[in-house]
Amino acid sequence: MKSSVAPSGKDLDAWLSTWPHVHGQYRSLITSLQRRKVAGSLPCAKMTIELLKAVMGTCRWTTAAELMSVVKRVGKALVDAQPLQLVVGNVVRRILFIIREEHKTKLREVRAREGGSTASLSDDGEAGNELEASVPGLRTGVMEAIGELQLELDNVYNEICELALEHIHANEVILTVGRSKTVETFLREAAERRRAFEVIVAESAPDIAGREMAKSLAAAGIETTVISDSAVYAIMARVNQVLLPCRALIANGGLIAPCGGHMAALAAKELSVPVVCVTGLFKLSPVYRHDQDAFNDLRSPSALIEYADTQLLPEADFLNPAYDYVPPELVDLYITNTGGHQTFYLYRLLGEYYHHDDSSLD
Amino acid sequence: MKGGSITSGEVQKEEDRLQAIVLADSFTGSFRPCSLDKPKVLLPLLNMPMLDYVMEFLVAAGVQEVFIFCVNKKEDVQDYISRSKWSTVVGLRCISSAKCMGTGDALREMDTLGLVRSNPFVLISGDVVATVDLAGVVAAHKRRRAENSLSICTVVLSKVGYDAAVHARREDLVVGLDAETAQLVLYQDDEGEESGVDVELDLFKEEGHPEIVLRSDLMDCHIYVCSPEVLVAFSDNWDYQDMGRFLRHEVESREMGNKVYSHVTLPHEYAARIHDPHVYHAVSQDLLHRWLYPSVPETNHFHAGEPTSYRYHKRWLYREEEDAGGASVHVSRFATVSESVMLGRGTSIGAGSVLSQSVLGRRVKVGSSVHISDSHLWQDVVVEDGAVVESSILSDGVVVRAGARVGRGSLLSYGVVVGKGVELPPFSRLTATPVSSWEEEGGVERDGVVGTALSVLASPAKRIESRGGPGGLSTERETGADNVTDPGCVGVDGIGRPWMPCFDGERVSMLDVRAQSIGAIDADEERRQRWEVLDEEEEEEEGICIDEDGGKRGPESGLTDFSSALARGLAGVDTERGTAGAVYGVGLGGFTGEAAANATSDDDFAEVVRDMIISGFASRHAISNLLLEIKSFKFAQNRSYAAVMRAVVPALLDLALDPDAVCRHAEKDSSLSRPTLKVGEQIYARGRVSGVDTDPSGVRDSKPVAAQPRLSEQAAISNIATQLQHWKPLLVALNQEEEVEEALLEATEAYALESKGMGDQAGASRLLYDIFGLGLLTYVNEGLLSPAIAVAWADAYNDDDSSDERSKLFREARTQKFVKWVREYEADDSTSSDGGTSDSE
Repeated sequence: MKSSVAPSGKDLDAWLSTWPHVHGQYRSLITSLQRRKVAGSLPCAKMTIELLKAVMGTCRWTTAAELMSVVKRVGKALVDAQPLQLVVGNVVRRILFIIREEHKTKLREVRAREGGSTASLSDDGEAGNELEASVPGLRTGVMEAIGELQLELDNVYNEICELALEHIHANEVILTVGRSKTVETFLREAAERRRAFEVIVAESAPDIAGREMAKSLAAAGIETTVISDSAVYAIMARVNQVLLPCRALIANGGLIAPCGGHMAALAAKELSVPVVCVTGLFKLSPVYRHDQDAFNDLRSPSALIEYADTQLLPEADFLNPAYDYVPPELVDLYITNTGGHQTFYLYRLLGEYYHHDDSSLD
Repeated sequence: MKGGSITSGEVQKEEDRLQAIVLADSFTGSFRPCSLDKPKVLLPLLNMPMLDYVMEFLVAAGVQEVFIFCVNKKEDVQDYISRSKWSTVVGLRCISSAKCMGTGDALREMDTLGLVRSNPFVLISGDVVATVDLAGVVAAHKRRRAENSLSICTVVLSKVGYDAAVHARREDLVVGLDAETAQLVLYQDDEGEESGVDVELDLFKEEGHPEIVLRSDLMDCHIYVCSPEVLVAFSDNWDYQDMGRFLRHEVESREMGNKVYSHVTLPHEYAARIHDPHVYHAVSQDLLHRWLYPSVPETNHFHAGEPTSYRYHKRWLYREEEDAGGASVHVSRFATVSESVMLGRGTSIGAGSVLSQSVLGRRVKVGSSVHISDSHLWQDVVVEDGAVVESSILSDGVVVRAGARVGRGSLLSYGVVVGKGVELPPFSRLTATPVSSWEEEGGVERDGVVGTALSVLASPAKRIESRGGPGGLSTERETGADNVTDPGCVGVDGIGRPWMPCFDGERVSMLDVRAQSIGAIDADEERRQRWEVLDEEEEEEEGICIDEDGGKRGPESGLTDFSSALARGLAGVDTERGTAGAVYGVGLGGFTGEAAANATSDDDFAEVVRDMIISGFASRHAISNLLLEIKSFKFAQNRSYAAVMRAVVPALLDLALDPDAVCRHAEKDSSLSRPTLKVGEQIYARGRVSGVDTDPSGVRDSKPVAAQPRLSEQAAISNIATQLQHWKPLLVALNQEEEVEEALLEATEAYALESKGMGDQAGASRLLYDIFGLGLLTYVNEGLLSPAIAVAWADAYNDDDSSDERSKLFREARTQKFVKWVREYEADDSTSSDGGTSDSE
């Protein structure tokens, strides 16, 4: 029966509904992504992996090509549900890469057992027909590799925090913007290891998440100061290092940071203060930015002005962007779960995590 | 397709399974004739059916079973639901009852069916757009219910501000809330008796509301969380026609002890109900400006038939991505797509076209050099080269041929074709469906319900207007069963005929339709300007005069206008929480005190009225608004109608005879020369070549009065006649007392004498002395002056042969001629006025 693979995106839903459990999980993830119910990149990534694992484990597929097709379709649906959550696409591409790698290894093993030459399997000899070949043990292999990926995500904070003492020195003044789980864990770790330093948090209007961040840091015994966003430049002269949170790392080495990040980076550049970004590499995306508004999300203007008041200013526009693009030349260092990387080195990492054929999920 | 995402793992008590009733009919008919062809809830809002917004809202809030209550065209709704995926997510059932006349009937029907078992349940109108935390409201309702079983209902009130465009016209709501518990203690909408707000503060105190807040900035957005008692109440009280009636009564009838609470939207919440096309446009724009975040167009998350793929681009531009079939949005490089525009897949826009604040659906073809602004073009619309579409809604398949112009506020229903070069007047409503098919559907007369907004102000005077409505259609054509095309209206190559607003066999005023149309923005603008004027005159206590039709009501309503305006002003002031008593005291005290202090001299009064008239004329305010303004001032100053008339007449005559008066005024008050001139009364457009850009200076030049400094007698008379024609509604409205007509006469006489006294320096106005008789004749011809009064006036001179100016004027040849004529006229009523004119010449 040829119905094992969904013929087109539209039928994916119908195809998946053969397996009610997976279908339910698929729908609920899509809906919560659409309603912006899943907060944070890491939960998004984890839920995506869970879903793809379920799809792989339950649904019918025989070859790597079929499996990849299913993963791509599901992945595309998830990405479309919230295009700005780049992490989802990253994870899907990581899994596609894993499938390719596993398929290659397994195929090599098979060929070796058959006594054939492995010479034909050069790196670029991965023609379509080879992916079509069915190899035993692919499912187990892929599942294991995905398990490793999950482990990597679970440990992402720990790995990053290992580097805390290397980058935060005694009596330093560190400036950060808004709230970020990664930055918060990083700083708390340094504090726990009895490094004495001072943190200045820009409150990041209009959602003023910076205040929450400051509370949390202060609770950990760090000397913390909250400043308004407009004071960032004024205080920059006192700062030794800027720690930027990150929503996504894009292929050119640029950074999608919470709103206000760009300003902080510019101020730091002006006064030659190093700008360091702390992030897990699962946020590294093989996508490029085309214009200023790409990957940005305009939220409801209600955070800026009450609806009733807008009637007084009919000609005024109220924009509430959620993120800032920070160009690569403003960032000096990325601290990731695989260690510190220079901006220009990121493209190299892309090759290690993603396959160039998977850049587009169509 | 089974096995949706409903996790039916745990067994739920039936009471906990949240149910909702969606009322698919709004019983207003404001979207007619479109809504006659397709149910209103399925009309697209940003290219998605309105029903989807409600469904998403309910499902996201955890509603598990939805009853959609339809009156007309149940099949369409049913069909839509079966195509969409909502039924896989939530229990859905379509209920229909053809005999329902309103919300009340629908709820009684629901009670009879006994399907609603959840406590509480949600009652929502099918045209609501909201991001309210409904789950939170339900939880709060349950909590209150547990404390006191008499808490039967929670109303969601949207804080939109008093002047918001999403505030439906005529839904002027004043609510009183307990400052602490948000219990609704007063609910007063404009419907029914037009008394102002009656607040008995002591009563509230006795009932244990130490502090209440009166607010007029809230809008009832038709989202209710109700306990089963609400249905019972509707069944018990057959006079409950809608929720407004229910709320008003339940809140007032204290002996029952039922309590209604409110949820006022928080700053980050948005809620609106699409009451009419005007609100439709406002809500569309709000959605494009992302007030409904996270439900923004690029979420593409509605379960509609076809998936969408909108993306956000700079300046509030939303474009749909290319689909697998290669259909994409094509915008010519030479087209200008300015901000707040949405473009569906397959749409193309030609060179030189200009688009702003508009929503275009899929496969819309826009030719070159087309102007589209503030409009909604649904699917498969074609707009050919050089056409202009402003502030209109064009339904699926509408074609606007080359060079045609669709005037603002128009609504073209399915399949209408506007012929080449045809100019549709503003506020046209066209349909291409034969009358007979509606009658078969049985939907024509249905949703006009007693007490809906449409019928409130329909008065005989205004029905005249609907008869002479757009296109000047003849009655036979309207009733001609299957004649769908009126070439006089849409051109020889067009399809469609004007639709007449009517229900229950009764015509509804075109004015009401107008106020509900998109282009009716000038009312807002005027309201704002009126505020400014009032501020300048330090007359704040008069409050906001919102009802643009106020002037059309009888004279006695003037007082209620004012008192309700007072109450509104009062409520408006009290946005801060203060003790109601204090606010009340300040408001009332302020009023009486100020009024006394403002008792200015007659001259001052006349001067202010004169300013109103001249500046109103210069900025081309609608007469009804001016009238309202003047009336408010009259009441504030406690003057008679005759006094007003005495003040008005010189101003009018100045306008007619003294071309400099307007200019002088404009110089004096430069703020009036700003281009508010697009605010339009049609009378000004008459002399202009239609289609020409509304250039303020051009408009002014074309005014007859500005033609030459000194007018010939003939021109003067025709000017007077033109002005009278223009101001007639005002003069007629002022003519409420016996003395008014006398005042008119006396004022004219005084004006003539004064102009004589001023000699040649007075310039053209001196003319009136010479043509006094002719002026009076015009009055009589226009029906402003009854012959009887004129005769009585003339009689007063008979035994007076003094030689002062007055009697000189009286003995002028022309005056005598008039007197003679009017005596004859009075003697023989059957003499036609035409004959009279020729007589006097």
